[in-house]
Amino acid sequence: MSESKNLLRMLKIDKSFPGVHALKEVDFDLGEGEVHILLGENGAGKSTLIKILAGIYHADSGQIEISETPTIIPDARTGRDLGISVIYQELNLVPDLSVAKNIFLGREPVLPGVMRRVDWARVEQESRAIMERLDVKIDVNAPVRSLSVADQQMVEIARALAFDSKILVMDEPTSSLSGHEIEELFKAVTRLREHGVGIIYISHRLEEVHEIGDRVTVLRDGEYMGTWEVKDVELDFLITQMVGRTLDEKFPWTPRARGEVALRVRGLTRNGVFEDINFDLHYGEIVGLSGLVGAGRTEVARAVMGADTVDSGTVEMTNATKEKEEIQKLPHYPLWMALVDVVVFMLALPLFTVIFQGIYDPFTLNMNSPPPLFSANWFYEWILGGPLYNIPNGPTPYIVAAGLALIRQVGLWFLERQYRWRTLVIDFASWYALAIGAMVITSLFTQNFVLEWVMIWGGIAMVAIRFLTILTHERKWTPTLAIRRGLGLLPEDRKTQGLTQVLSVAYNTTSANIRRLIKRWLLNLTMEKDLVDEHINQLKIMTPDQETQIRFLSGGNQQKVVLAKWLFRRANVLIFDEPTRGIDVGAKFEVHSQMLQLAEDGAAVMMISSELPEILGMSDRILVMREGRLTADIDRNEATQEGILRYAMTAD
Amino acid sequence: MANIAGAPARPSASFLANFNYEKYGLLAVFIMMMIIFYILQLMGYVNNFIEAHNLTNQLRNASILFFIVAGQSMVLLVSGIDLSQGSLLSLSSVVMAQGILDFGLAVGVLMGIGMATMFGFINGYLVGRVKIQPFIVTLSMLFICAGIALVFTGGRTIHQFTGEQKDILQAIGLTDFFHIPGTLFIAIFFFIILYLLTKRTVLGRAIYLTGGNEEAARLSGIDTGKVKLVCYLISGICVGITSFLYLARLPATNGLAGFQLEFQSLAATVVGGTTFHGGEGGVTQAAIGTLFLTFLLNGLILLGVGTFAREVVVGVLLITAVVLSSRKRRE
Amino acid sequence: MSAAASMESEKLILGYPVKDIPWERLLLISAFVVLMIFYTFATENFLTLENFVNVVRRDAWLFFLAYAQTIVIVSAGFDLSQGSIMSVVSVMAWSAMLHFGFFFGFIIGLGIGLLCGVINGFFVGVVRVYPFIATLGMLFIGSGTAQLWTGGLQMGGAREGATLPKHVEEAYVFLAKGNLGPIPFTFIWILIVLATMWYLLKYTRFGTYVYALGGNEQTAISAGINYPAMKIAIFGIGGLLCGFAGLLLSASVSAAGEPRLGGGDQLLQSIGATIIGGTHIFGGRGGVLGTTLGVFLIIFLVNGLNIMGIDTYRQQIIVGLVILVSIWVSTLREQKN
Repeated sequence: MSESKNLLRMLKIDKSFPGVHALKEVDFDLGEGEVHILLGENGAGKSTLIKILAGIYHADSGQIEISETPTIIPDARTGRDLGISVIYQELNLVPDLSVAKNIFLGREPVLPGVMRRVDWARVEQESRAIMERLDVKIDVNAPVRSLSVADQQMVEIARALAFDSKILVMDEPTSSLSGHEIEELFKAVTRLREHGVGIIYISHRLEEVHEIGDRVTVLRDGEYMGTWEVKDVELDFLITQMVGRTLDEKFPWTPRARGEVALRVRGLTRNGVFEDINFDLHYGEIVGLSGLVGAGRTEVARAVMGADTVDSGTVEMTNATKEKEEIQKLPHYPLWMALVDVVVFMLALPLFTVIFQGIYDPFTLNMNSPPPLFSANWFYEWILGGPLYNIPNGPTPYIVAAGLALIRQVGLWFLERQYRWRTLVIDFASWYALAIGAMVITSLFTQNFVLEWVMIWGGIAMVAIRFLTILTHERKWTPTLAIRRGLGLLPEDRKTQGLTQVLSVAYNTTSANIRRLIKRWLLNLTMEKDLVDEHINQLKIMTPDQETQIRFLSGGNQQKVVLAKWLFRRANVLIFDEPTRGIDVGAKFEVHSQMLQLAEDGAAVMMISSELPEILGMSDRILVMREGRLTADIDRNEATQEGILRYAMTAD
Repeated sequence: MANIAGAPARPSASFLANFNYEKYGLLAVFIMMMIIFYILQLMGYVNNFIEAHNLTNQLRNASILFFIVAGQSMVLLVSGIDLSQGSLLSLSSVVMAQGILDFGLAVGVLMGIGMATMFGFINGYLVGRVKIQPFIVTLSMLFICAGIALVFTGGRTIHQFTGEQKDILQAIGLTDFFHIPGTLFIAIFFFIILYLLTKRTVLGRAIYLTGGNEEAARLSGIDTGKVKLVCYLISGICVGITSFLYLARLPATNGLAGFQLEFQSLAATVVGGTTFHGGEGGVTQAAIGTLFLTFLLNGLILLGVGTFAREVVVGVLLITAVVLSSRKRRE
Repeated sequence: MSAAASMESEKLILGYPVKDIPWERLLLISAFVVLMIFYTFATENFLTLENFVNVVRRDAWLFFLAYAQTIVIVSAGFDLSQGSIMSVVSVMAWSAMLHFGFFFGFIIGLGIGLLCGVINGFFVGVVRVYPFIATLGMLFIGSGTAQLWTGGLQMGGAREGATLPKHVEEAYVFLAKGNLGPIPFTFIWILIVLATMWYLLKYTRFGTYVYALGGNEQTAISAGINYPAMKIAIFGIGGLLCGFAGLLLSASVSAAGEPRLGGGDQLLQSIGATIIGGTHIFGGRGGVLGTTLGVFLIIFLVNGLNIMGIDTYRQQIIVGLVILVSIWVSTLREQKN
């Protein structure tokens, strides 16, 4: 216990969720003007503890004392009124309101009077005062959108202060800040401490413990490991306290021979998320990707799958072809060529008109000469649909058009490597078919010359839209392409990304390879039934029948359906993202055995998991990520919980 | 843990226990509605409801309406909306009529259907590829198509077909076989095609998967933009066929032929059980919804309910169906 | 603007950090400006005070409709039922004026607009139907009710049958066409409503909450904002303004009750004006000043077409295309995020 007054004491807090004992009689206390660091692995129970404190969850047993008085926190509102503020990782601000308005959102001070006008002057003044207290220079009238992430965090802190919070919980505040910004944040924290605010600080960066912490508490697997004065403990000691989860769980692991390289990832970078990721995945191998939540593991998996764009880097699947799939931005259709196309089209229009309509002005039947190009009359007649003359203005436009069209063709040939044959043909055909089609239909209704220009401009608009989409289109690694090469991803969020909840088990199982069911042009439903039954039996999916909607299945069975989907696809490189999160023990074992079976059958498997025992139990090789970088590649025999955690939490 | 939590238990062998209310509830309501109207007829409040001539006429109306309802269903299945159906119908019917006048029957019909298809494609392109909100695309297209149709006709009604053309058109549109309208056969044929398309092809699967969960579909390797595009394209084709049948039944059309028809098609679609969320519903539901709406409106007419009151009924029906389905979804 | 004030954070131009400047919107607006310049040179009386006054007087209703759409869209909603509300208000207010005189008819008209809006808000806020679907239902019911009310016929105006008493009709027409000294009456209405809405959105608690709901609904709710009440109020204000727009438009259509009043492209124009004016389609950003600019752009686009002698149908096509493209350009950036 620290010497200062006690702000908060949580005694013997116990909390269970169905299937999980999240907190086992945890004690925690916080003194005035103290920074108390809460440490623990993923799923150690930190956030559950915080949510109980904030009033979002209710403890099954235990007691909370605030300022020495026993208190019950029934909901978030009460928690806030008691002076508890939580700053979550994702910021809770309204981007287009000013800083001051954000700080006072929901409790604006009101001027006396019937109108109940808001006292904006006071809002601004107090916001400014708080900013001064924090010693940060932020314009309180600027919209939050215009601030940097660090400044937005300051606004959150200011908001907590405006509530007169005595207890401030900061959940990984530095995870998205740069070095300089972290210093600023620490300065603010120091100031808060001087003002007597108690701060519960959750962090995954162990270096920070000594930098700002007063005391540190470690949770492991929902168990309270102890509280120490920061100056008394070493980092290594803390790590040993955090790990050491029991390894009594059984994992069906057997040694296997390692095959050829299946997936080769090089220099994968998405700015601000992950950087320079390099790894190989071999056939017949299970690779565990470890790291803390937020280290960028899921993002890497999605990028490898082609679900998100990346800034640079390559993904290579070695199975199908030896060709290298570039996934960085490539100019697909250069701007100059689009411009040439537009000009060709504009100049060629009169030609089309003449071909399909004959040389006469439909309205007056006068053989007038058309207005000169780009003159005011030209604009009037072409853009605004005045009378359309059909006599070409000498041969020059046609010659120019033909020349440009030639250049376009030659250009396309040169670009063929990026611009594949099929695309080229389709593009060319659709482009001209559209123009000619528009003109044909138009020319059929000569008495309706207005329709004619509507059609013409409709056609041009279509073509223009096509250009714009082509311009913005990147030749990229898409899920479609990845799946065709044999890659499969079991996403972290299976409910919203892996499965379609309102459709049946059968539909979901076959969704990644519907083509496999085709027999004589149509899908063969008997075959589907048999194949799906096979997978249901193989994976022991508990479902009344194939027609049951996915949403009626339990989490474990849903996960098995996602797996069945990839087995049905016969994918040979599989990425499992948190495959066993939130599923019961039986299903977990089933998923693990399937994973092993896949590897034994020669597939390459990558497993992302937050549970160290799972990683250690299942993997042949372990990759560790920390803040968007791969920090370690450890062999199964050399891996320990401490080692992995060290790579995941501390700078080199 | 209960592994089959919440799954519908079906131990009883009785019909009522096995009855799939979600799927066929409306069919039951439809049959009940018919019975009620029949009782009203026996009591003398309604004239000529269950009567060969009326039933034939209503089946004809229903089979014509079915096409656009089916098109709308396709679009709703991928969680879009097509508000341009009505005015696109006007446009394609006037183009078709003028085409028939100028170039003969076959060319004219192709031109009309082609026009509808093209606008369906444009809608689909803007929604699926350019990724503008479907509602904005189709609302704008509503005015664009209506404008073109009106410019095209200049407010005239096009009806000056030759006697032969009229005969052929009416032979398609008005012939009955033993009181069964010929258009019904066309509709049934189309129904079968669409049914196969949605249930027995890769595209159909892709439509359901895209509508049910676009992100999951994308991660299963489905080009969701393309799927959407095709759905709007199908809607366009459906409108084209409707405009042909419309023209065939009544060899005359004008620039306002399909005015606000999209509302009827939306109502029939949603009442039938296809939801705005996508992924639920289908062609069967479209057919049931069409029958239900047609006979309900017909019954109301025979009861002496005015045009505009019927419009309100349609509105109330729509919002009830929507509220019911969105409540169901939230649970 | 706050450009100079923030030193530490990034440089701001027009309140935006440099990378967030909506270039595509500026481009769009400059395209419109170029069009206006073209009109000015291509026609004789485009850029005259008389034309300006006439256009704003005639199309004043669009301002109110667009303000209504703005407040709804800023709160991350959508109102499709605007046209129907206009129609309902038009016919019901006409009947009310026939029986109770102008003033009460006017109030009842506004009241009906408000009621329709509140019903929308009820469905969105309490029943929690998507705004899009809830207002679609109101669109059906509103237009049906309006037609039902009159049997589909126009009431008063040029038609035979009952007409409003002379003084009522005059008062009604005065609403839309009258002058207060040299200034058209509608200008004053626009200014009053614009100022009120601007104040409401910028300086009141209500306005702050509207932006909060649109910008980050979770935060707004967790800050203790009453979601159902806010939605009802927002859609209610929207309905009220639609009602007023309906009254103005009917007044300028020879003071008639027209059941198809809002059946045209009013909705598209109001959405177009709102989005072109810088309001984000997913909410949280924008305001009535921008919308005013959007309305001006649209009404003068139409006016220029008028002056050049292009007929209504063709205008419809052009306006449809222009709005479609403009909305697309304006939402490019939002869709990317």
